Amino acid sequence: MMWRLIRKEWTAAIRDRRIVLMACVVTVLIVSAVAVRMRAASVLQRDRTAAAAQFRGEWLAQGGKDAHSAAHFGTFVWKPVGLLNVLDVGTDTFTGSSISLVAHQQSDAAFSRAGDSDGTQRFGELTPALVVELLLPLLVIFAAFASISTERRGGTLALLMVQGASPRAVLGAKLVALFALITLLVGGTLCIALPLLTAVDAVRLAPGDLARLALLGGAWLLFLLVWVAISIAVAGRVRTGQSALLVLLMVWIVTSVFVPRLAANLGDSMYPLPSRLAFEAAVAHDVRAGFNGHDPDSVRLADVTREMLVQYRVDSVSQLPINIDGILAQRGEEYTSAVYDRQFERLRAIMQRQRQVVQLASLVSPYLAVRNVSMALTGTDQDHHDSFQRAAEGYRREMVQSLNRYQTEHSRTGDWAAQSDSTLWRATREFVWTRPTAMTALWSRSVELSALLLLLLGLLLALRTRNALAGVGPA
Amino acid sequence: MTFRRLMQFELQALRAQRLIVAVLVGLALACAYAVTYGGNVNHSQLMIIDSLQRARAGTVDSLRRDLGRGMQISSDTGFEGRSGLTNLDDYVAVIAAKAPHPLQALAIGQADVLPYQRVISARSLYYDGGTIRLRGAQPEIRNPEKQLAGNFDLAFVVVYLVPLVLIALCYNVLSDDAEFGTLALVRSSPVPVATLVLWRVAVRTGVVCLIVGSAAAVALLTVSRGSGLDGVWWLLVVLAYSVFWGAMSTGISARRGAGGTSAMILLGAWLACIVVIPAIVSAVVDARNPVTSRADLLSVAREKVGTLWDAPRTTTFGPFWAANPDLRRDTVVRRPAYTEQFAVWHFNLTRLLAPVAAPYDQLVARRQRDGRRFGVISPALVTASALAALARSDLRSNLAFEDTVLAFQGRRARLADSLTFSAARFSSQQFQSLEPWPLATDYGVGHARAYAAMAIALLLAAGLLIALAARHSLRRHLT
Repeated sequence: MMWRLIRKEWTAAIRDRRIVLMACVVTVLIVSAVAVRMRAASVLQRDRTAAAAQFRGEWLAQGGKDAHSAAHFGTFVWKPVGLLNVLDVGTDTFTGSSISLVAHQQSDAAFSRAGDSDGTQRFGELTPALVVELLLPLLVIFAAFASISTERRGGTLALLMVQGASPRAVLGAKLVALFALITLLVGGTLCIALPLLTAVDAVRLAPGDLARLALLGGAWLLFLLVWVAISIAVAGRVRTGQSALLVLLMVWIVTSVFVPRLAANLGDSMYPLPSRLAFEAAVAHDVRAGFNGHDPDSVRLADVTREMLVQYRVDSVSQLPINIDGILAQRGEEYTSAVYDRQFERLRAIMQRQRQVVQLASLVSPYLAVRNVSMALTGTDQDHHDSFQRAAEGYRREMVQSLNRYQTEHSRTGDWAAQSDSTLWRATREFVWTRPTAMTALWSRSVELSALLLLLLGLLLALRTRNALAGVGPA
Repeated sequence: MTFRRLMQFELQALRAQRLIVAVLVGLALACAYAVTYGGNVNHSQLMIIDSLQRARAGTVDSLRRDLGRGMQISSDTGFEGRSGLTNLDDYVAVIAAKAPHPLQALAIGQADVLPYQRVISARSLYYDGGTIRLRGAQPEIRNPEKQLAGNFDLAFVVVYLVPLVLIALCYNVLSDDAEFGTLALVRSSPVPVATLVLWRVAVRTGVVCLIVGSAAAVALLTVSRGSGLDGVWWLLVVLAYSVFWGAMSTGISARRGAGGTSAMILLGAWLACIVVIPAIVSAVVDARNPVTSRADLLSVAREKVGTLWDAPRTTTFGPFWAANPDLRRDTVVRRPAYTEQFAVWHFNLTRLLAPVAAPYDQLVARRQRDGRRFGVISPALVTASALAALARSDLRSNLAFEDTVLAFQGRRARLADSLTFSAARFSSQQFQSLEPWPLATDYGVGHARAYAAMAIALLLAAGLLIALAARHSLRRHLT
C-alpha cells in the first residue's frame, strides 16, 4: 500500500509542470552557483598563493640585517581559500584575508572583501548553499502545499481511506515521496556540479574535504527533511491549499528571513563589542601599566636586567656575555602576548555569548541551524577564522622568539651592527595552517544539529497525531 | 462619496481577516524594533566618537597647560621622557571620525563594515612607523556572523518585508472574487472594475505605507532628528518602492488564474529581486573587478620603509626641497639630522606610495560604480542603495570620508614638516589655531539626492508600466 501511495505521489509531482519548472530553475541555479564560485575561488586562491610566495621570498631575501630589525620587518600570511569555499562563502566575505606578523603586536586579519564592496553583497552571494538552504525549501513548499487539499477536494482522500490507507500512511507516503524527489534532485544536481570542482586549478582537495562534503550532504538532507515534514504537517492540518500555502510561506519568511537577522541583532545589542580604538587603548594600557596596574613596564624591565646580572654574576650589562636587549625584547614580547591573549579572549567571550543567542534562535529556525552547520563544514565560519588567526599568532611568536634568541646569543648588549644572514631567515619555517578536523567543525555546531534533529522529531510526532489529517472527506 | 465608501469597505474587509491583521501588527512591531535598533547603533557610534574626542581633548589640554607654563616644545625638544618627534605627533595628531548621519539609524548600510574613524598624525599617509595604514588595514572589531546576518534596520523592513506584506495583502485583489463567484456581482456595480481594483490596491498599499511611514516619521522626530530634506527624500523612496510592489501585486493578480498561483508568481518576483538578482550582480561585480590581496602595495610599502632610510640624501631630500622650497630658505636653526631625516622619510613614503595605492582605491570605486550600474535591474538593490546613500552609510560616502582624511592628513604632515624645519618654536597661539577635524556627516550629499531621485523615477516608471500592463490584462480577463 505504502509503495503504491509513494508511486502515485511521484507521478503527480512529475505531471505538475510548475514543480518541474521550479526544479529546473533550482538545478540551473545550483550549477551556475558552482560555476560562479569556482571562478571566484580560483581567482582568490591564485592571488593569495602568489602573495604568500612573494612574501616568503621577501623574507628569505632580506639580506644582512640585525635580528630585531627583522622581527620588526616581519611578514604577512594569507588565509588560503578551501575547495569547499565553492559551496558556501560563509563569513569569509567579512573576515580579512591577510595578517601582518611583526614584533610586539598581534594583528587582526585585514582587507576583507566586504570592505571593498558596496551593499550588493549584503543581499547574499550566489552559492550552492544559498540555493539549497534558502530556495529549495520554497520548492518543497510549492510541491507540498496542495498535496492534501487537492485530494480532499477531489474526494480521492476519502477513497484512500475506504481502501484501508490510514491517515498516518497517507502522510508518511507523501513525506517519503517528496523527500525522495528532493534528494534525487539535489543529489543529481550535485553529482553534475561537484565533478566540476576538480577543474578549479588553483584550489586543491584538502585532507578531510571528502568527509566534510559527506557530512554537509547529510546536514542538507536533514534540513530538507525538516522542511518536507513542516510542509506535509501544515498541508495536512489546513483545510484549503491556499491557506496552507500562505501559512507555509509565512513560516518560511519568519524562519529564513526574519529570525536569523533578528537573533544576530539581538545578540549584538545584548553583548556589544568594544571599538577598535578602545581595544587598542586597553592593550596599550595593560602593556604600559601592567595587568594589575602596579608593575609598569619600566619596573618589569628593570627586574629582568637585575635577574640577568645575578644569573651571570656581573655588575653591569656591558659585562654580560649575552645581548640583554634580546632577553628584554623576548620578555616584553611574552608580556605583550599575554596582554593580547587576555584582550582577545574577552572579545571571543563576547562573540561566544552573541553566538549563544543565535544558537537559541536556531531551535525555531531550521535555516539558521543549517547555515551555521554548513559554514562550519565548509570551513568558512568564525571558528575556522579564529583557528587561522591563532595559527598565525603561534607562527609569529615562534618567529619572533627565534629572532630574539639569535640576537641574545650572537651579539653583545648595544651591538646593533651584528648582522644575521639568510641562514637565520631560512631557519624560520614556512607558515602552514591546518584546518580543524571535520568532526571538530561538526562538534562546534552540535547545538544547531541538535536543533534540527529536535525539530524533525517534533514534526514527525505531530504527523503521527490523530488530527494530523484534518477533514478526511470532501471539504 | 463612492470612493469613501469603497475605502471604508476595504478597511472593513481587511479588519475582518485575522491573519492580515496579525501580519500588519507584526509589521508595526518589526518597524518599532528596527527603529529602536538603528537608533541604538547610531547612539553607540556617537558615544564611541565622543569618548575618542574626549580622550584627545585630554591630551590637548595637558599640552596646552604645558605651553601655558612656558614650556618650549619643538620637534627636537623632548619632555616627560618622550622624544621631540612624539611630542610633535601629539600636537598635530587628531582622531578623524565620520559622524553617523541621523538617517543612518534607519539605514545602517555598510556602516557596520567600513571604518568610520582614523588616527591622523604627522606621519606618512600610508605608514605610521609601525603599521601599514592602508584603507581597510585596520577594520573595526565586528562579529562576522552578525555582519553576515545583516542589520535589522528600517531599510531592511522596507526592502525585504514591505513587499512580502504587500504581496500577502494584494495577491488576491481580484482572484478571490473570481474564485468565490462574486466577480459578476462586482462587474454589475456602477464602479468600473479597474477603478475598484485600483482602490483596493491603493487602500492596502496605503495601510502598509501608513505603518512604515509612521515608524519613519517617529524616527525622523526622535533618533533621526535633524536629517532635514534627506528625511523627505528617504520617505519618497520608501513610497516609490511600495508603489512599485503594489503595482506588481495588482499586475500579477489581474491575470486570469488562481490566487495561489498569483502568490507563487509574486513570491518568485520577490525572490528574483531580493535574492537571485543581487547575488548575480554581486558575482558579476566580483568577476569584473576581483578584490586583490594588495600584496604588491604591501610589498612596495615595506621595501620603501626599509630602503628609503638609508637612501642617498640627494634622492630623498631633493624631492622634499623641490616640494617645499619655502622650508629650504628657513633653515637658520637646523634640527638634529635624525629629526630631519625622519620627516623627509615620511614625505617620500607618501610620495612614492600614493601612485601605488591609487589603483586599489580606483578598483574599490569601480566595484561601487558597477554595483550601482548593474543593480538597476533589481528594484530592491536600487532602493537599498538609495536609502543607504541618503543615510551616508554606503561605500561612496565612505570613500568621500577617506578622501577628506587623506587631504587633512596631508595638511597636518605639511604643518609638521614646517615645524621640523622652521626656526620658530611652536607657540601656544599656533597650537590654538590648529585646524580642527570637521565632524561632518554630509559626505557625498549631492550624489545621494541625485541617486535617490533616479531611484524614485525608476521605481515609479516600472510601477506605471506594470499598472498599464495590469489594466490591459484586466480588460482581456473581463471580456
